[in-house]
Amino acid sequence: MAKSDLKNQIRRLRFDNGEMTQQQLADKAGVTRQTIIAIEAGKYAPSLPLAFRIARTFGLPVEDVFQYEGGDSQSSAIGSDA
Amino acid sequence: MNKTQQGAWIALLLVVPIWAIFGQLPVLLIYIEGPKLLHLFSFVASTIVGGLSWLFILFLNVRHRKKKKIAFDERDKLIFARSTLVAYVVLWLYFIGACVYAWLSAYPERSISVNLMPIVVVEGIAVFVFVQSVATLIQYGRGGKDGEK
Repeated sequence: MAKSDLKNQIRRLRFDNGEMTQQQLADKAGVTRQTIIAIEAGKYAPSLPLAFRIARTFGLPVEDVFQYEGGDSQSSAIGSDA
Repeated sequence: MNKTQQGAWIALLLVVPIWAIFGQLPVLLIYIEGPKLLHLFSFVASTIVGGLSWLFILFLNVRHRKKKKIAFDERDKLIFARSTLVAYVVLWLYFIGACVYAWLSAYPERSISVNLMPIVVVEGIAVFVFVQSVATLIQYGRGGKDGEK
């Protein structure tokens, strides 16, 4: 799986939430531990429902957990219209 | 190691060799003994591989159910889909290669025995399972390490 443009704060948030293990997060999000490892390492971009489930586990909005760092041609085009 | 990875390792180390061996043996036996043993070997190979596959699937399911862990999620599904796609592409290339090779080796004076067709199919299944397993393991290898905390 290729590196994704999606950055995340999962590792930091796990430790902020009482040193939650990857397995505990995986169980709460309904995925395998390997998937959490891959997401944390930025090697797998989760689906939208999974991203929401992970964010909900930490009690945060999804944009506080995941940040998109890819090209911003679309957003600048929308911005220029406004 | 999750269920899909275990399945891939089992397929790679056990199912493919058994399938390939029982697929290759008839080739030799046809040339030594004639085609009479081909059907026997096809039957034995199908029984062994078919029986083993079901046993392993059952074993893995029971094991993961006992652990009460999630064994298959969206990433596994994606990896499985990609591996299957790659395996299908290679299978088609294999069949084209086998047909072209048979045609080139027999053309223009000789003909090919129809008894060789089941062997091409049997080997095709081995190729498919092999490629699918390798593709699965490569994708897991690049996706994350088990030891990370």
